[in-house]
Amino acid sequence: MDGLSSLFSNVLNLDIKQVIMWIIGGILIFLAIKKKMEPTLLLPIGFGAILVNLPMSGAITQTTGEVVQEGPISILFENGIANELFPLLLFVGIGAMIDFGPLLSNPKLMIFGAAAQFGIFFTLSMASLFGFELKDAASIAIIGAADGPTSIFVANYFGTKYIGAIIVAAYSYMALVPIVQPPVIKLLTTKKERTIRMEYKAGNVSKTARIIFPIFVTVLTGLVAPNAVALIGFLMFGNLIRECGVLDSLSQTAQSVLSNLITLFLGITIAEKMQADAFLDPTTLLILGLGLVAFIFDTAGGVLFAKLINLFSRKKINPMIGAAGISAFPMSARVVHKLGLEEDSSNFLLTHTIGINVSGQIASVIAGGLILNLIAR
Amino acid sequence: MKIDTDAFLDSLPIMGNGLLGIFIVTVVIILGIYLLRALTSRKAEPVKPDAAAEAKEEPGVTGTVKKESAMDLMKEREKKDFLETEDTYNISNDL
Repeated sequence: MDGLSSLFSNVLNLDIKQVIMWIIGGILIFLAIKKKMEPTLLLPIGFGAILVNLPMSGAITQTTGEVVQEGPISILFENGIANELFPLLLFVGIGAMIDFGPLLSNPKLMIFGAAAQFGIFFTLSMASLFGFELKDAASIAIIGAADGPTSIFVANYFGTKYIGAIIVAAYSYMALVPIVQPPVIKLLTTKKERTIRMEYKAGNVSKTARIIFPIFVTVLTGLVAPNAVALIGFLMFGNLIRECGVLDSLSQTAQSVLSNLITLFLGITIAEKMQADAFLDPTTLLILGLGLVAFIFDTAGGVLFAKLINLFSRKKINPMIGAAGISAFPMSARVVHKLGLEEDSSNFLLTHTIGINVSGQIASVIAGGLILNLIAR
Repeated sequence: MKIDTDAFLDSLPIMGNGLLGIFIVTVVIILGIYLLRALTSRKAEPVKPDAAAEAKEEPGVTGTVKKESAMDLMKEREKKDFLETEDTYNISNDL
């Protein structure tokens, strides 16, 4: 009888907060499988949330008295995220996947990528208003980068205790771009504006330009925001592998095997910061709310900037394309394109929105780098 | 949670500098791309009379640079299953 009771003694260590985390984990798994929302990340995060919230879970480091028993998830966190390795390696894969051709064909559209980072800086101020320390406010604001690895990198750089909530918010809102962006775009534009047609002129982009571009951006960003040079450098390294034309095998590996491998461990490792005591806090809800604010104001920034340009330009721009400047690729480009088709079934904005969307990728990393530079750790 | 207006006011210069910084870097990148394109683009070959006549017949074609219509590019993209595949619905597949 004693043996039986000792077998189930750990059940007594169960806390209601841990059960709530199981439910949250279950919801994330449900959203990943049933709603197909970012399944590659939400599913591992969801499962990880259950795994680390089992009483006395051996998956995370446990300290009993003076005895420290290391857990694999904590080890992975220390060696993959705390030292910023996973997001950087993932960026090599992302860089190898991105075709900067549409951006190089029509570079002036890149300005919308910059405008659509407004939400990041606006949320920084809002988070400060709500009493977050500046480094925590910066970490929360970077949710607006709509870029998971950048969010992880910046949040980790500042060592914020809210990293779990920030990452969950970042990936959740990226999956919710089709729900978040359309109402904001419609609110800020008239039907007439949404039906503006834009001429597309395919420019010639030489292979040399494609090869020099990643090197140029790395050098430039490194000079302006040295703290971000690892982020942009790994992204552009991946792109250089893609464009050089002599490393196809490495490019394919970076795009598929490397990205999948890192993603596989990234999600479950993030769960280390989803332990009930730290995660179940009213602040988490506030962070989720601020993340939404960041996405909304990113979208608004892009749209309003396009409208501002229209005041001075003879050739009118469809202001909806400004919303594609957020980094969620290719979701945002497709959302804006589909909105255009809803208004006028023969108005194809995709060629413009793709270029802006990839510029948003670069701009979000630069924004992250500027935040690292502007705020002391 | 407390409302901290002082912290908010302190953060405004960071917001301003950040936005200014990102626009400056972006403009420099844009100028760099134009310069890169100018330096690396090949000079257009002289247009043969037959080719010029052909080009005139094709709508959306000017000089030696073919101006592709958005519809053509759209079809091209659709061929690559860019728009409607299940895979592309998941951002992280592309990230």
